[in-house]
Amino acid sequence: MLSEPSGLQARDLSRSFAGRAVLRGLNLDVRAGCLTVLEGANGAGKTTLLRIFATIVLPDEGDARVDGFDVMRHGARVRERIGVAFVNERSLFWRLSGEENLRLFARARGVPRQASRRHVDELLEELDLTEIAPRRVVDLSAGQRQRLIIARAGLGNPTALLIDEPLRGLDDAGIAMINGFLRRRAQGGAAVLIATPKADELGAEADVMLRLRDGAVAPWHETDESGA
Amino acid sequence: MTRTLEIIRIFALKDFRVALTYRLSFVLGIFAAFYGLISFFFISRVIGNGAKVGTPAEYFRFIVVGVAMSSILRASVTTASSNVRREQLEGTLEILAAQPIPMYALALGWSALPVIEAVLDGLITIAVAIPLGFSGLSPDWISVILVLLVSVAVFLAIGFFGAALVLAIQQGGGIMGFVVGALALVSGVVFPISVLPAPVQVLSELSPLTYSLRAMRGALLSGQSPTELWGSLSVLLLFAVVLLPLSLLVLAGCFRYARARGTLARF
Repeated sequence: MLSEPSGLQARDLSRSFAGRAVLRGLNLDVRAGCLTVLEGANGAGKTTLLRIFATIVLPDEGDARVDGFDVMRHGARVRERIGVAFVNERSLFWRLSGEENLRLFARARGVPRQASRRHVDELLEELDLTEIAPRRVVDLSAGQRQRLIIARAGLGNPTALLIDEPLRGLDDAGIAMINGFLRRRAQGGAAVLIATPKADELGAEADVMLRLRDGAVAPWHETDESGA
Repeated sequence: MTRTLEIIRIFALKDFRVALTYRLSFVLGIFAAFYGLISFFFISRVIGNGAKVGTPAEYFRFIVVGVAMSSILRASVTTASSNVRREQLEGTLEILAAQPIPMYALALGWSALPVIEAVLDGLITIAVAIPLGFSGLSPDWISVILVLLVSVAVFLAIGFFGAALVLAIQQGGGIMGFVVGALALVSGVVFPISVLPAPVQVLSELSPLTYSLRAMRGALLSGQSPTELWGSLSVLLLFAVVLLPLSLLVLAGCFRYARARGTLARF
């Protein structure tokens, strides 16, 4: 029985791809209202972990929960609670405008039509996308697309945010905007889990810093002291 | 139910908006259906009276319904698999799979616009055929709508099997094209089943398209009521009742299989 009813929990989580163990008995707790940064080298398994919480990949063994709901048995309940942003600008519909993308996903998440207009407008404004929102995604810059993907993760005010490398390709103003966005979500009570290969970009914002190495999670200072 | 309809609406609208950004192919796609129709009009002119397909005018009536229904078949059967494949290639499948969208609503959403387009194409085909000599239309509209709805349900179910294949093995488009071709060949789209060799006629009786065409021709050309069409309609209903839930179960199973293998976005 897991003790924490809200936030993200993983217990003894393992996942392999093509015979290569990516996660090995991983344990993790991300509390609601807490911004947790998970640092790891490329290929360390950060994205796999986020994908398991997002129900896109199922674990081989172990248990992963969002607000107490198991990703294997209660996938639909988990998906109602999460907002995800992966490093994949192709995850947007490029022939639609930024605004149309957000409206579509807002409606797909069950945000009522009238409320979705206001909700989308607020997110666009928060990430300084209002002006470029009528443009097709194909005509946006990489940084603008990245902010749009982060804005999409905030649709429906999810209780858990799973964000992969949020600062990739952003300038200083963009980095400040995204950091502020994520900080406000954590202050609003969401469990925010950010995966990054460079913790120094996000370290100042983090409530908790962890490191993923050899398929398991360790507190930042432990791995730091060990010379990682 | 409301949520499912809303998902279908937003995905149909999304596909329509995307289609509008490719204006030329959107417009040409509408006109493409006419080429076949006009070809068959001239083919009907070389058919002599007393042939197995009747007079030239009777053959043209036969073929117009065949062309209209086969375009609905093609759209319904191929659209779910081609959309899953497109989402895989474009990179949007994973993010859709992470949304709180019921799998069956997503499958219907993927299929909605192409099926609506194909039904409109069918109506336009009939409208265009009238000045070319398509006569004797005496539709029973209740029968027409009923046959259309049940036929689309059966064809969509076949399409969902194709979408499941794409999720499981990253291919299926070619297989579904083969299925459409085979169904059209044995079901009496461009020639009556009676001209087929006897063993193939057995296959015709196993094809749902055979019953769709038989019922639609009866409803559109002979004004037959649902009661009069019950023979074909009941077989179609049986296909729908068996195939639709089964296909959705298989699709859900293949979604889970892809999640378990971590291959949702693999292409």
